[in-house]
Amino acid sequence: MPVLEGVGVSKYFGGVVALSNVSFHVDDGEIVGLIGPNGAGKTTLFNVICCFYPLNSGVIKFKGEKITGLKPHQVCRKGIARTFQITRSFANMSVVDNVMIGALFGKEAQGNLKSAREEAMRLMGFIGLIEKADMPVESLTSIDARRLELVRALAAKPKVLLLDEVLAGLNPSEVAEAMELIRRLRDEMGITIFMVEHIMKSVMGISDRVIVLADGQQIADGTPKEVSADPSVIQAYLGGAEER
Amino acid sequence: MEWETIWRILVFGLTIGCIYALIAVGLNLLWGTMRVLNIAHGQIIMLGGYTAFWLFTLYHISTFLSAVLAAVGGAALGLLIYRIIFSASLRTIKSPEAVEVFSLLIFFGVLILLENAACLVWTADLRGYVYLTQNVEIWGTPLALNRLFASLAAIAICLGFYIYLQRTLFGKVVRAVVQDKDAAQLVGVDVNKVYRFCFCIGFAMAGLAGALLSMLYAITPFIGLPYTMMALVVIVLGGIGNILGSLIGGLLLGLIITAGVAMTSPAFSLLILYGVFVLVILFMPAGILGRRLR
Amino acid sequence: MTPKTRMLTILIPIFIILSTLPLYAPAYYISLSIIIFMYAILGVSWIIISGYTGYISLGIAAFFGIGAYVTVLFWTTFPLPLPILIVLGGLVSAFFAAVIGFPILRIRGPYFVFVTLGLSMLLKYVFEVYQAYVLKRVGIPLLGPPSMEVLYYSLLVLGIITIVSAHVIKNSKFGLGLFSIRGDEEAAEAMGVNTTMYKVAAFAISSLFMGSAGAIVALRWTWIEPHIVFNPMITFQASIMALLGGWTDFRGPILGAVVLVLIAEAFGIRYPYHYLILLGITLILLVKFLPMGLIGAIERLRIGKKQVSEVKDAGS
Repeated sequence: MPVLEGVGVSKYFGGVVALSNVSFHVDDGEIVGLIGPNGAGKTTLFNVICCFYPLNSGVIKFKGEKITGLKPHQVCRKGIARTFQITRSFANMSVVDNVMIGALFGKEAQGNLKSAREEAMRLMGFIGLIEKADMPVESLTSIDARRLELVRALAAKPKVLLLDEVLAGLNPSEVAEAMELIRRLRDEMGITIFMVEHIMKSVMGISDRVIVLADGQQIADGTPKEVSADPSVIQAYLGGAEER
Repeated sequence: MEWETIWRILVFGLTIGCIYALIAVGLNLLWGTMRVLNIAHGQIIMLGGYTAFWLFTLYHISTFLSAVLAAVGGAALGLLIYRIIFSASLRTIKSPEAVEVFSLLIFFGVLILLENAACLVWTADLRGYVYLTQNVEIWGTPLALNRLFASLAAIAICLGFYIYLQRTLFGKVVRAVVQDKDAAQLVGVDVNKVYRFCFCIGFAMAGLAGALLSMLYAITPFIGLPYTMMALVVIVLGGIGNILGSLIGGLLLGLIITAGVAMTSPAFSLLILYGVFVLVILFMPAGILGRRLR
Repeated sequence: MTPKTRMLTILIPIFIILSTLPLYAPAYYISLSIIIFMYAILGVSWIIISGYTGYISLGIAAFFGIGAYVTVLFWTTFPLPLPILIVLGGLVSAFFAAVIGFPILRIRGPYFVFVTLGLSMLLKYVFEVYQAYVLKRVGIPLLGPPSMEVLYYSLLVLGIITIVSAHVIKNSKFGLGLFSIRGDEEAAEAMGVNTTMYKVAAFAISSLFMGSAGAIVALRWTWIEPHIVFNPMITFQASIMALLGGWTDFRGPILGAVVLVLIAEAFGIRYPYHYLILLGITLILLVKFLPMGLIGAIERLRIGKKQVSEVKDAGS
């Protein structure tokens, strides 16, 4: 049984079809890449999994249990956490307070502030943000803000982590570092990763499987090797895999 | 309900609706282009009313001439407020939501300032004057000449402005800034010029509307807030930045309120206004609000 | 001295002075303190919703007025002991806030401001119509009210409860959740915060204290008309006082209330319009130059001095 799956998922915004009859699955312990040209519906799929929008049709299941129709905070409590494409930190709060929100309200919702803060500090140590703990979020560099986004999601103790273009704008060494971190999340913490990415080399390098969306439809699902050789995928990208 | 009453509601509702439309368009111009929420709009109207009142009472100047002066005065005030408070802040504040909150609070202060300054200078007494109160017959319904002329003037200005936005180059520039400020800037539009224009025209419309209203109703320093609320309802219904929507919405709201008062009593007019206001905001389809707030 | 000890050394003397004031101070100062307490309570409870969650409410007068009318209802019909009346005023307000909160807290930004203001005005006109057509009276007198000292102590106790609540909330999981809603509501929802329940809870709690304040102050004013208790100037003044002092914690509204009520007493009685014009100008200056209020400015000065001394230490 896949840990996360969607069957026949469709989402329209007025006349615009964002997702059309998309079916996908992610198995426990996998790193699955979600790729596709701009506007393919990748972030919409994430939003729909997290129940930010209601579905027009179809169903999404987490650990076999239907989660469509829940509120976003309930989805988080069940064990799905996400990062946002443009980092969304909690303004007017410190870095550690930001992470504590994940610890306090996520899957293993801590009751008291003290243990939540300890957990937050532990995770920030893991990712290298600990010296900045009490600084206001507004003072973080964009890389650190990205790290914060990730740590905050981790604090929610997810089973499945949805990463939305975490590598955008990173230089090659930072990308390598991030990939290593993502691998560790899966290997050491047992977190299943579902990641949207544009940087082909990286996502192909790290994923066990890749799902391809184009124009709101799922056009491929297989190993990186299979997908990169798939003619419909190549065509969707207009004549060649996107290199960066 | 007899045909005569319905007709009377129509005539009265539409004539006052024309002025509501003018008020709403003026407010919408600032909100649509800059996300500036001038909740002191009603107080500018009030100032326009007093301008017309004093010019008529002291110098017997026709209200239509003082309306022009009120418009010019309004434009000057708008430009002043823009220069002193907004021109720097609009450059530094990033998100449109933050601009809305900033302008809301600023104009909140302006509201309190103007209302009480008016009380101080002119006292809270009711002021009114008699001008052009002869009736004409519109298909059987008597209508005061001043009301007829005021609504014609108001609707003419609204339509003229709408045509200006559609047909002239600068009008198109303004519409571009409403649609997407950043894109407009990228193609070389001087947004500051557009902002100045909007502040001037928006405030001018308020001053003018106030002058027109002074012919029809007594004025006090406190007449402002209900007009602002009314304009907000119209804008929310018709769409922020949608000038034609405000025009039609103003007419519609004029009909609704006139009908409501006709069915109950003039004492209920404010209750109806605020009731409509709360209901509109509560039950607004998420699309109109959601699109703007995302 | 730790911050906690420092805070106690300030608070304890103040508490002693305030709780014994009626024993030695002339009636004028008691009366003035009542006004300060009222606005401090309104301001502190206001920041629980508007400061902590960022949903700026202009409905203070609505909940204040509801509490006042609860007192009116019972005082003129069914005698109840004062503490019960106060609690009831608060509870009815809180209930109304909870019920109306679900629909209106779905509305964001300036629309929320409008709807709360509109609601407040609507209530005023509803009660005016009710008084004119149903009760057929202009206003309602509250005969035989408790003494000023009793009302003073009631407000003092309510004030302490409000301040302690605001402080406890701010440093709790609930408070952190509220702040996250202010920070980024959708991200908060995505991180597991039940934003709807939290917002409604904050709204109801703040209305609880506003309603209780209204219940007490109604007995001070003793002549109740809708435009007196549902007066939007109460909302404007309380919120401007809170903004002047600073919206992040309870100290701000208290400071703002003390400053502005004293200024009002000093020259606002003789020159009411000048005072209100000053209020308007204050708000404009605050928003433009001092958005965090006086407390925020003081904090920034302190942090600035700290940074300067750190730089000096590093350099030496």
